[in-house]
Amino acid sequence: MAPAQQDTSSTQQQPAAVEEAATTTTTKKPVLPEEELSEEDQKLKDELELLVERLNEPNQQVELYGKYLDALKTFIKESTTSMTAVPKPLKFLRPHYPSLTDLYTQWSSETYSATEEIVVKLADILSVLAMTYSDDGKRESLKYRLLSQKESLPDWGHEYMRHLALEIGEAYQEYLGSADDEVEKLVKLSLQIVPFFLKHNAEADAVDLLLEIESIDKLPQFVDDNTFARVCLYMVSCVPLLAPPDDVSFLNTAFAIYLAHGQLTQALTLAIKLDDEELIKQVFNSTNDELIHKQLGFILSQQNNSFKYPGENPEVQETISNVKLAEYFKYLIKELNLLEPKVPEDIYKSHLENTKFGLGTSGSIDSAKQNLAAAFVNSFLNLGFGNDKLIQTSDDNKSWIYRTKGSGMSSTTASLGSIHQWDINEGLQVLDKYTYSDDPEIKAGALLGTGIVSSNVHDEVEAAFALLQEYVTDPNKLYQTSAINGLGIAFAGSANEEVLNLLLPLVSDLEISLEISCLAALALGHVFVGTCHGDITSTILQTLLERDFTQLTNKFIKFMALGLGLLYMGKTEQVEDVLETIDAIEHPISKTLKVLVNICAYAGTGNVLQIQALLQMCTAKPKEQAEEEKKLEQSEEDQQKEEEEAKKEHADTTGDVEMEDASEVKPETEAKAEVKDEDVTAEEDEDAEEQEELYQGIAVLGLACIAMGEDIGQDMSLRHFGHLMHYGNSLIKRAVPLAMGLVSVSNPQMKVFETLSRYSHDADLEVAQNAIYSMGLVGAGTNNARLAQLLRQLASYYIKSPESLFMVRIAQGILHLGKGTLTLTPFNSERTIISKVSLASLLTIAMALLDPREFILNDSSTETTHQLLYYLTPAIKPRMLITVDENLNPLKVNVRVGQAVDVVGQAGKPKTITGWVTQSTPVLLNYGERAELENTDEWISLSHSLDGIVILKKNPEYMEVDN
Amino acid sequence: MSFTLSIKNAGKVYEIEVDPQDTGKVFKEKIQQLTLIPPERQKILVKGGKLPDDVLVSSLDLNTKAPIMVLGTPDKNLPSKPVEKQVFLEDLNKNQLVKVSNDPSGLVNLGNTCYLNSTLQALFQIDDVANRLKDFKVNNSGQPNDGLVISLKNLFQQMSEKRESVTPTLFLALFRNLFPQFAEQQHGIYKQQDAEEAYSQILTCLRQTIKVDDLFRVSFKTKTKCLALPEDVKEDHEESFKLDCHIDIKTNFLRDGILAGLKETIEKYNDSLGSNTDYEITKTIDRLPKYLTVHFMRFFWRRDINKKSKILRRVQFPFELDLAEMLDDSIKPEKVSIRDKIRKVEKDNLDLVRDFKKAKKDTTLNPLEQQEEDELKIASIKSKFRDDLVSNLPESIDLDKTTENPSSVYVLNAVVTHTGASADGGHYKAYVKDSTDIDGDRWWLFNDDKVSSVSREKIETLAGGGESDSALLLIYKGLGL
Repeated sequence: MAPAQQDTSSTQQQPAAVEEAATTTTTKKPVLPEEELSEEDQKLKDELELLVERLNEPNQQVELYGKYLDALKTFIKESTTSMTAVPKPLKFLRPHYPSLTDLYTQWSSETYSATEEIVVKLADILSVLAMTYSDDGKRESLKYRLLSQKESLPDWGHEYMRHLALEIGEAYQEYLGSADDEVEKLVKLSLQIVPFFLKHNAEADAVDLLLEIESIDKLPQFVDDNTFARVCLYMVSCVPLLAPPDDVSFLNTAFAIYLAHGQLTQALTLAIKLDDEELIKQVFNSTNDELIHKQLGFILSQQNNSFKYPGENPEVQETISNVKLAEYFKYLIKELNLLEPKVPEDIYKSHLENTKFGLGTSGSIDSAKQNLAAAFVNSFLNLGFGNDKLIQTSDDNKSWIYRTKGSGMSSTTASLGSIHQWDINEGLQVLDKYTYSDDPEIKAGALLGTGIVSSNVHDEVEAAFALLQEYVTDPNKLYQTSAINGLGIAFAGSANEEVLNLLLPLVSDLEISLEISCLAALALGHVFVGTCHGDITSTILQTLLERDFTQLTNKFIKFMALGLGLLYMGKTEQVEDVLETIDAIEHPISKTLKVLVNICAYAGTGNVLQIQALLQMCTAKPKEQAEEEKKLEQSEEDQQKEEEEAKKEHADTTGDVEMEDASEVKPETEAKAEVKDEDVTAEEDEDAEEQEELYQGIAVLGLACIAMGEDIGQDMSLRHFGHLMHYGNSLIKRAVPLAMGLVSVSNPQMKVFETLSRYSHDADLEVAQNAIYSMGLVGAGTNNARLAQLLRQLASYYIKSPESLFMVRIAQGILHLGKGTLTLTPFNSERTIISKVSLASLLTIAMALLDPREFILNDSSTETTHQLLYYLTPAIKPRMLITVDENLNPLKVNVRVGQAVDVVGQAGKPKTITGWVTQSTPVLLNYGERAELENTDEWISLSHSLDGIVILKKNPEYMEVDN
Repeated sequence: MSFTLSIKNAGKVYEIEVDPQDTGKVFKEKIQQLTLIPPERQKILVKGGKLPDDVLVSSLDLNTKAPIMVLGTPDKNLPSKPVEKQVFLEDLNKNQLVKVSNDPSGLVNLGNTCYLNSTLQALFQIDDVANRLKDFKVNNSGQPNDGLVISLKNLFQQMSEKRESVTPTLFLALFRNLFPQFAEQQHGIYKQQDAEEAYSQILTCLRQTIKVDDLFRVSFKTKTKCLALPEDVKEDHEESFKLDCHIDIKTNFLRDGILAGLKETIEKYNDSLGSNTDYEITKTIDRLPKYLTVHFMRFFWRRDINKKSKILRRVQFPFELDLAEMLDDSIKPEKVSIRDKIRKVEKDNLDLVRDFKKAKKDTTLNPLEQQEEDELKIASIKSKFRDDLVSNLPESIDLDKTTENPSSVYVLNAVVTHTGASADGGHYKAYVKDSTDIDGDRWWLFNDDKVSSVSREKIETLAGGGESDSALLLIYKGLGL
């Protein structure tokens, strides 16, 4: 509910404040004895009073009345005063307002007809005077305005317009649904006011007014080349605060405006935000310039979108499919002089740790687990660089692969894929020889690597598919899981139908092991992320029903649920049908499923209702536990009581809110009913209890997923997490650090990682491990020195705990992702659009880490669950700005890189960055940084925002100045 | 009509002439001639998957401009297995695991026994004591202390095996038996005790059984001077096994406290005057033992509240303690000159240590080799230092056998600390220098059974001044020994 409220209040606030000032000054007046007026004022007052007197004298000539009115109008119009004071004429006329209204009634009903010119004129003046009487809530300004003529509207100035806009907003709410013709009048009037606002630099007021009267779609006709940019900027930044369906209509309108004004890249980002393939196509179709198509392609490529270019030019499709990404990335690292491969020790810096030499707990002998960690670190560190010192050694048999054992060898071999990330030709060739290895683990690793290397990069050959398809049904489970995971990673977001045909039978096959089914479902979830694919949905639901209920306690089952959830990533309301279907089936994991699908659907929206519902879920307790607590409560101290109170408060607030918005609330109330039902059954069924907790953990992750889309919500969520950490059960506690990591991926804020650092010493090792992972996540690819230091201390601290140490190493690897050139943030284009593929990846790892020992830290020889870490791959992208020329060859130009400034609603042409440094491209962009061209005369950027790969065009009018 | 296709393999592009009748198999053979990849290992990736053997290449819808990707590995590049099998930590059983661990053992707390554990750790690090204990055999003398010493010997034996942790049950039982004051109970549980008292008691036992007097004995020359009659001076001799550091309002450094203990004024009956008069007693040290124990007198009995209390005052102590100013004139010049000689040798060797620290780690070695290499280097640096020392010092001094400190300087080796505000509670910990670390930067922290490593900076914070860890006992060892 909050967004809508916030918005209306913000629009009302300013006029209200002014109006208040007006009324207080005027109402005070009569109380005081006649204040001494200056000569000038006295004269004005006398003149005005004279005019009013004259008007009130009956039976004069119409022309005379007209004259008086004109004189009055001139007086009012010409009064110039400061912003804070009430204009003098208004002040002096205020006492006469009632008499003038009487006069109007008399004139319009008796003396003249309401359409007579002088009557209309009087209404015009009354409408202005009514501003001083606005506190009685009669909206007389509006009333008289509607009774007066149209043309005189802009004569009265800005303040009056804003006042009218306010009253229109109020009136509209009142008449809506009851008086259609009144509503129509209001809309008509508004459409007169809007152009005025737009002309006078009050874009925000114009947009707000149209929002109030629900006619935002009428905006495009009024904006012109001068105003559209500011209008759209304001509209787009309003979107996170609006309740559906206003947000979508805002986006659509802004999209239409951008499109109409040829701002195709901006239009494209909105189309992506709207998640509408038709709109994207529309953007492409609106121009024939293939260079712009390519630029659009580069923007799409960051989203890993499955969009198929409607035109002919294969080069455009190549830009969308990231075919040249490896080339550009290699250019970047060459320019930044980062070619020299690094070894894990370079970032462990164990000489700075207070420990013995080397790896592992003892130092004198290798630990397979720590060596595996080193393999992961090595792959993160040299990701995309194409060379390393551990795995690709000159002597084959000295490769690091043989320094790990069992399933660890798979992940180590697969890391070759990461090292050659995006470079399909080179990577597949390097991996090829390992497919002939005698060790099944190494071969399996090569298969997984094949998938990893091809992640996000697609061409018409789709080598990864060709190479992996035969192993998907291999009797050897090792090959099978690797191939499935590989396909899931390689084709994430591509919506590839062939992958569907290959994997879907595995999901529904009840004969094969549940692990395979679940991994196949997960892979499909990634491939078809955010597509609402019907076949997959029904197959997964069907399978869940048909599988024996005892199998559903299997640890892998949550990935099947996640697979279903990912299909609905970012789809908001479109998820309702599925939720209903899930409701209909009686099933132990149906609640987990529901929560999961729901959080995916609203991921990145910042939807407050969803957040509240999730918070409520986190505080719900199984009945047994609640009873136990009651007993304890009597003896326990205040703290416990506070907790209960806090809970009640939560319940109350959400309850209130839900009553207000009927359409939105439905799923929540259902969810609540569900919670109660489950509580009853939980007593009977122990398995269900586990599920009970699982859904709470997921709910915490959901908080992060939903809140990450919006800055204020993000900040608030951090506070919620603090509370949950205090009062939550163990699973919630485990999820909290993960959620904290998720909301600020690749954004190392001190307050976040200091809190995580505290959790990283938690008595519950799993909480600590997740906190450690999250420390890596918040610093992903930043090389943040403070985090590096904290992690190094943790390495010393956990030197005797191999599992925690493993996690510390992974976090160190992620922190130094690609030597600090890459990022995991799911946001693109200056944080405006969220990549579903990235988010799906991050969420998958977070889900796996809800139970770290079972998956990422698992040493089992039959399962290679640490492979799941590679699901991070689709989320990895360079945080670079590369400028290219019209032939897509890298181009060096100077750009200013600085902290981005929020310029929404600011007057004039404010600077969009602050504290900048001039650098030559290619450059790395940190979180919250923005770049702008130094020499805008010489170069024209085809994209509105400088990030990723940007095509520059030489300005044809540019003249080289010699000196 | 034949046509040309280009293929791409391992970063190289090859041109291949293809006949319209060529099947996939023939095509592969042609590729083999160029790339040496056997056909069965060739993966030719075309639109729609891998190129099958029996299909005509010309029948495929191929883009003749873009090169076709061919994957494959020639025979010589196939992966080879490592010669020897790697052994991992995870493969070892518990016993083997113990052997590879280098960390010293912790001691399990058996209920308020942290004072004893800390004391034992501090004693254990004194090599000479540990060695002499090792050689100790019961000779049926029937000494009551024998049992305790034997159990201590066994305990040290276990600790030297570097197990994860050792439980000193037997020793504790005998100890309490022998010294009932440590078996005091309150509310049915054993009370916390003073670590210094325990240390002194154990040392007393050891002096009786394994003759360690010479290692610890400090002797003083005392001068008792009557302040009223300056000519009345009495000289005497005194012995002690520790130096006390008295803490009062003026004590900021360890030196202040020791000096305060060496000079005192007492009131005593004077025969010649026939009344009580003030005497000043001045002590000078005329024997410096190999190991010097310094005791911070933090605990004292407050009469007003009838309780043992603790002085929380911050008293800083040095890593290297020079006692030159407290020495008796008879030995002072010699000690000082040897001190200077050792300093010189030390300085000459400083570069070696620095080079070693700076040396870039050889990344080609595995950790095991790395460690061996480092150990070798450290050993060589140490032996060179020793050799230099021997050649520079007078021949009368045998560094290996001497139980006296040839110089006036001591190096800090262990600290027993006490946390908390009261004398009856709190917690004891021991900090012991890691002898394998060459520049003394790494210390072991023994918190009962938990052993962790801390840096030198941490030791500096043990000077007290609050309720956190403050040093109670310091064990110094002669410089260069």
